[in-house]
Amino acid sequence: MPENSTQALANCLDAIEQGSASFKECLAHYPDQHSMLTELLPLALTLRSAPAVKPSLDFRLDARQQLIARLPMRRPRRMTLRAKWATWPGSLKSKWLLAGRAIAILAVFVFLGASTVVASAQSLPNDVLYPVKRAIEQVRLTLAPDDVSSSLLHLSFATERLDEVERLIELDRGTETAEALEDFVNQIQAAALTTTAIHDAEQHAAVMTHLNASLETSESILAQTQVRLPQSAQAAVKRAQNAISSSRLHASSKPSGHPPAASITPFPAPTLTCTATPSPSRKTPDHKPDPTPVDTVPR
Amino acid sequence: MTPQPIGPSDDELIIRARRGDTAAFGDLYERYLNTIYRYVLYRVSDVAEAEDLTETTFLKAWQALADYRVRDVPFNAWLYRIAHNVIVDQHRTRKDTLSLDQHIEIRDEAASPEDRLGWHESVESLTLALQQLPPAYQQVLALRFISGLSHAETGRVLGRSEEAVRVLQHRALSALRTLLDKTMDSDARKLDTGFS
Repeated sequence: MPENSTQALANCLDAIEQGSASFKECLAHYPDQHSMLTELLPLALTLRSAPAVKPSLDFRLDARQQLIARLPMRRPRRMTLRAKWATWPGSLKSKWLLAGRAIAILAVFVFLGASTVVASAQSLPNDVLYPVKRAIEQVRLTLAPDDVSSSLLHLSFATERLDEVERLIELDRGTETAEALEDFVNQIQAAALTTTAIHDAEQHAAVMTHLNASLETSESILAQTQVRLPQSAQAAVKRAQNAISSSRLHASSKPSGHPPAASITPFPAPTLTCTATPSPSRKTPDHKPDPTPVDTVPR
Repeated sequence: MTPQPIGPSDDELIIRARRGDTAAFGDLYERYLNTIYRYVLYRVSDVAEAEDLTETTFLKAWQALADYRVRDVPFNAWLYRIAHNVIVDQHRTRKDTLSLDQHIEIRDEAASPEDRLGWHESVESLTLALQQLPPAYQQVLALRFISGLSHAETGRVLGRSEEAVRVLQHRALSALRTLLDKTMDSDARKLDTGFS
């Protein structure tokens, strides 16, 4: 299938969908694709005009109650490894993504050498090895076997980001702290969100304690470093402080029927783009990720 | 994809549901019932079957909720994936021909009865043809044109790049066009035979 015809069709569909071009304008814009567009565009537009069907009123009235009545017998629980693997999404891409990342980290070890990888742990934003450090962190997060591990990893990565900020200031590189501060926000929000998903009350309470202590420490460090940062970094500091307040609020309330657990407040889905190894000075409890695939779609 | 609704966010409802809060899952169910039902109905064209498969989709989602990760894929994209798998499994176990005996409820109150009839027939013939396509083609066409997802959103459901979605969409539309042309030729031949 010629690439240009595929692109022309997609562009025309987008333009018509957005109201920026009509069917005739599309044909005029792609005279070489006139025949193909004349055949396929009307088809797509007819499909798009399909009536907005809804379930019948009877179904809508009864279905929720019937569904809920069946749920308690099927309380959510983690699937076995075999079941997870068997129900992986239809696209093989997702299945191989995890393996690809594992291979990538192995490749990093092989080609760069273990010493390089170890050295990258001390790198700072804009350093040559910093992307290696972040890639390794991302792999660790991807391989985290459960929400407890994920929460603790996010907290340790947030701590690492603050360490980087402090070290950048010491090196008179305060103008390069924005990236670390932004990711600090991402990490603590992700930690708070993931913590609320922990099922086991005892584990949840333990992580909450750790989260609160970590937030307190982070707040103190931010207050100390704020005065040493340039004006250009102040907005990022403010965002970090606000994120700490939100996360603390998030952690302070407790839902009924689950005494040790945190309540849930809506958090924007965090952009999890980077992670870090725990700081030697403020290290979080150690945990070893289990390379279990977790994104499953049941059949 | 879908605008964030008023009230608790999806993430909040998901977390509560994962703790066993069935009412929270009920809220998610109501939030996505219509979109999933519409997607399923246009894939199977049978109201009763669409209702069954929609319910199965949500039951499967409940069972797998502990393994759903908010950051990996939007919740509605995850539901579409489950719905697709449920439909494919159903077709594997039931090889019978689907019918349109039970009519789809048309909700376009503004259209005249004549328009509605013509529209219905046109869409009906298209959806019948749609179901004769390979599942991957059905899926991309239903997501793009029935559910109204963008190329990027469809890519997230399918776990493919936008470029791959564009190619798949082009192939699927071409296949549908060929199928419809063959059907029309066959109907025309039947008519010729009848009048001769």
